[in-house]
Amino acid sequence: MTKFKAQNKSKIQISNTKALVRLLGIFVLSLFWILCFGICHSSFAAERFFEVKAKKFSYTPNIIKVNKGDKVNIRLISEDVHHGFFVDGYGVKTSALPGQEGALSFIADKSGRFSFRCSVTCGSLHPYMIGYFYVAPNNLWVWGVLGVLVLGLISWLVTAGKKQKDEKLKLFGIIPLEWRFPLTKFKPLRALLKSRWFPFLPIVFNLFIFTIILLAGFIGGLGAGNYNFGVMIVWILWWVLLMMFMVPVIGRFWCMMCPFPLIGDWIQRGKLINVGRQKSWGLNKRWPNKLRNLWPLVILFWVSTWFSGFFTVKPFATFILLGAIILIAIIIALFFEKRTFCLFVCPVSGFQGLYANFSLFGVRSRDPEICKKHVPKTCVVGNEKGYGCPWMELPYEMNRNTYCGLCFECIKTCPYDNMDLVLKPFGQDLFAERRRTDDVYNRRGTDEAYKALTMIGIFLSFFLAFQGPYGHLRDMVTAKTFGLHGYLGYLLESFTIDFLLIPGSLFLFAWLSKLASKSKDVKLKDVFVNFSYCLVPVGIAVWGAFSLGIIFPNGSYLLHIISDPFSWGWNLFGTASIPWTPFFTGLMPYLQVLITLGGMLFALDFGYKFSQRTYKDIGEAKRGWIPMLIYLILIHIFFIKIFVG
Amino acid sequence: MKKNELFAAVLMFLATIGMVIGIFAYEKSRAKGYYTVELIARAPLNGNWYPSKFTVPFGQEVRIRIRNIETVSHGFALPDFKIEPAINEIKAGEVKEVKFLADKRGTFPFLCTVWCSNEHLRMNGEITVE
Amino acid sequence: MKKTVYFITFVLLAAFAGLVYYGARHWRGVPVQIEKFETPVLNVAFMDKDIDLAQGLASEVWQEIKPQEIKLMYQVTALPWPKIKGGLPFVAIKAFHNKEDIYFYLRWPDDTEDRVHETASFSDAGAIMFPLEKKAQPHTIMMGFLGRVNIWHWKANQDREYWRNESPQTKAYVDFYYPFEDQELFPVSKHVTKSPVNDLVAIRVGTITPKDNQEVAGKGIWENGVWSVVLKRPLAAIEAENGVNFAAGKKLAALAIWNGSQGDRGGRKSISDWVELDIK
Repeated sequence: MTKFKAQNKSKIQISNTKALVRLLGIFVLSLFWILCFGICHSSFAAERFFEVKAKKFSYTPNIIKVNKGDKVNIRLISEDVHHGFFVDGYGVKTSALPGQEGALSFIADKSGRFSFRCSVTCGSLHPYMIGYFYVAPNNLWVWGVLGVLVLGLISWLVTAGKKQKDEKLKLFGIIPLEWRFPLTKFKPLRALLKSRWFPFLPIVFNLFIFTIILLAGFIGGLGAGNYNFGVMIVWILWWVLLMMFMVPVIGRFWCMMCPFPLIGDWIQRGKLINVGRQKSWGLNKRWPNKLRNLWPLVILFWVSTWFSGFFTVKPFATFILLGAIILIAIIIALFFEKRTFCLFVCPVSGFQGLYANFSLFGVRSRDPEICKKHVPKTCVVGNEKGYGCPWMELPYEMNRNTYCGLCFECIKTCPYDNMDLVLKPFGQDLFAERRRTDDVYNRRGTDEAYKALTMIGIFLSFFLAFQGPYGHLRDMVTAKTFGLHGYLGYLLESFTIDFLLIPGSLFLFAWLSKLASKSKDVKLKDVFVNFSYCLVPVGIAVWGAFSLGIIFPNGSYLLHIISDPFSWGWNLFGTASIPWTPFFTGLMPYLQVLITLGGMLFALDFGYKFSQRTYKDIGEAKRGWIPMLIYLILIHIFFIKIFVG
Repeated sequence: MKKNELFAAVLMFLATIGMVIGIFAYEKSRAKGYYTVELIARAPLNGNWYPSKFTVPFGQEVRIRIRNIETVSHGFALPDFKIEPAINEIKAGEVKEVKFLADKRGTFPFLCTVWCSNEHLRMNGEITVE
Repeated sequence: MKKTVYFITFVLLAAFAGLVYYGARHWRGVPVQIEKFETPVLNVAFMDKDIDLAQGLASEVWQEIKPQEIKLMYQVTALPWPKIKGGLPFVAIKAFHNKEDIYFYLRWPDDTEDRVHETASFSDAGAIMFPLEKKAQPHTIMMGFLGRVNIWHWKANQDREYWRNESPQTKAYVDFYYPFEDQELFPVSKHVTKSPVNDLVAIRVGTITPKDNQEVAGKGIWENGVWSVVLKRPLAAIEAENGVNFAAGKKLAALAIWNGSQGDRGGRKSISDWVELDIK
């Protein structure tokens, strides 16, 4: 009997494999066919003439399509003020004054999608005056979709072949997710972190930059944002650094030197650098329990994006925003304990905390046994060497970066030197053990899911308005009109996408996942929440790709503003007259596709692991994974489309 | 330990209030030397030139510093005098300096020379030399 | 403790509000004071008078009407700028109609009478532009920027040739045709003068086209440094779509003046903003 069963089993296995191979073969063949159709499509090179009208802040037509090899002639007509026309990737440009047309002639020898943008400061939204220029065939789009499909296929093949749940989780099956390397092994680093001058000195430097930012915003008034120190440093330099480097790699590194809570800290502690009061001066209230989650931050960040059409372009609006945040930070510090502001009110805090779970660095205790025996826990209550954790975390058992602001007080206070700055693999924190379920520090709930989801939605709104060809979206975002076709429409659209459509789509696929898994007792909410963490690497990737679209075209303005921060005609470093010079615009779409695929790679790897954690057994996990896999494939095809398609 | 605090306080002061004072002091010092008039260029709907009418003494070498605080380009022309250097365009956020010798008495117009807004034709002011 | 905290909070809020208020007042450099601007209105009343241009400008008829002074500004898209002799140019304009014809009277200062238009010297001229579309473009630059316009262009040299029956001294003259600004002296051959006033249609820079029916008559006289020019045309245009129609009500118009001795020609001229004609 056993022999028969074994034979049957192996027969089934062979027929399964055969089926798989056949499927694979069909798949690959169809891919090749699509590819060939895409690449080999050719036609006569024609001479094309386009009359492009430029107005603040869009072009008509905003989308131009030609074939590779065509000779393109552009006649640029300005409908209001001096506008320019620069084509990414080709680097050709012209400009038109009202009354004097501009002419441009070039051969479209590079295929793909290129943005054409305004090259003459024409108004506040000048850096975002964009249209799209398509040169068929759009190979990068085809390759991008292929990349998504191949990654999805690989993930399916790998996970379908698994026979049991992974004992030890490994990133891409190579690096154990639990691995940690204590960087503070190196004496100089440990000495630096234990000194009270660190992070005080980076904070002073940051405060100095911040003073200039606030002053520039105040003086800049309603002038050109692209020539203002405040607007450029915050929304071009800082935002790009934050999204592309700081958050994904070094976690909440910005929080370490953030100027917002500083004044509050000084008032609470009574000292600038030395150790003063352990208990905050002020009313020292505890943040109410109902609000001890990420919901205030989800809402606050979303509300701050209502004004993105203003503060990213008008210096005075940046001043108001930053000034208001500092004001609120000080007031919260007067009323509540320690860094309540950073934990529950700061708009930037939400996504930094969530995305910091992905990063390579963290502060962790080394030997839990030492901590068990140590009473009282100075990392929590503080001593003469430092303050108790201002973020009201419990450093001795902290295993996620989400609420650690890298202030290094625990490294300074620990009498056993048991706290380390560790190097860890990407995403380790997403799989950290769940300890207590009632407090914000360790919960995994819909608030965190919504943070990840709204970040994707906000990215979508921002990309379409500020890097898309849609002039009417720009009008809506800047409240040219206030009705349903104007600003109110923008708010409604933003709410619908961020809070209804995108979470709805995840919810749908979570439900499909539960259905496919045939699990009887798993809660739909758990499926929804757990899989939402897949959107952490996805969010980091798409925001990173978006940031490329900010820095490459507009980075040259940074050289101007360091020499002339207030538009007073200064020339401190001699760079004030450097003209607007976009760089790497040809490379940009390729990098954007690569980054998006990179995000997908991590999402796929993490996703299956989340599936294993959600479902009871391997069978359920494998079946439940398929709908999520399809969801990830679909959304990534969508992202590739908006970046290069 | 007190020294630490003092030093930290000095650093903080320099970084913030000291910075602000230094910035304004530097800006003031740039205006020294010549008889300087600060002129702000704005489109007519945003207030037009400021000051739109001003007086300079006869025989004076006048330096006009024109700040374009808007988001579009403006221009400047003072046709009755020879201004140095001749200006083509003052871009958004730029500051340009022109010099001329006020060797004629009377009231003379100065105008914006770059089409900046629908009301560009009204963007002119007067300089009186006496 | 509580009181101190509330007090500090209040002070901070007040200080921030004060800063924001001060910054907002100065967000355009200095507090903004906008001069009130009203589009000048020119009354075109009904007068039962007739002017025979062959006899003269009929100044006695015009004396009864109050002029409207329209400020002009130099065109700036064409470099280099003209050598202006002090003060911005202006035009005094009067108009009336007698139910059949409409008359315009223009008067502007000019030091020299330039009635010769050749390759090196340029004639004085004046023009009125009427938009033909219902919705006029926001500014008057460029002869019909986004919509068609009808332009009545009176030229002193054509006036001389027509009224004095003098044939043109040269066959070629120069104008300032877009996009040949670089080649400033672009000779264009002259056509036979039918009237001192060219009746033109244009939709954009470089599209000036003489109409088939030249309906506008005009005459100009220079005296003591002042040009006086009268333009006359039947109220209803022969070509309805290409000629401006004057019905009772409001109508926009814009003016342009060329000072030949300053080098004005073609696109180099002084132009005005919109004037509103109130046709009674």
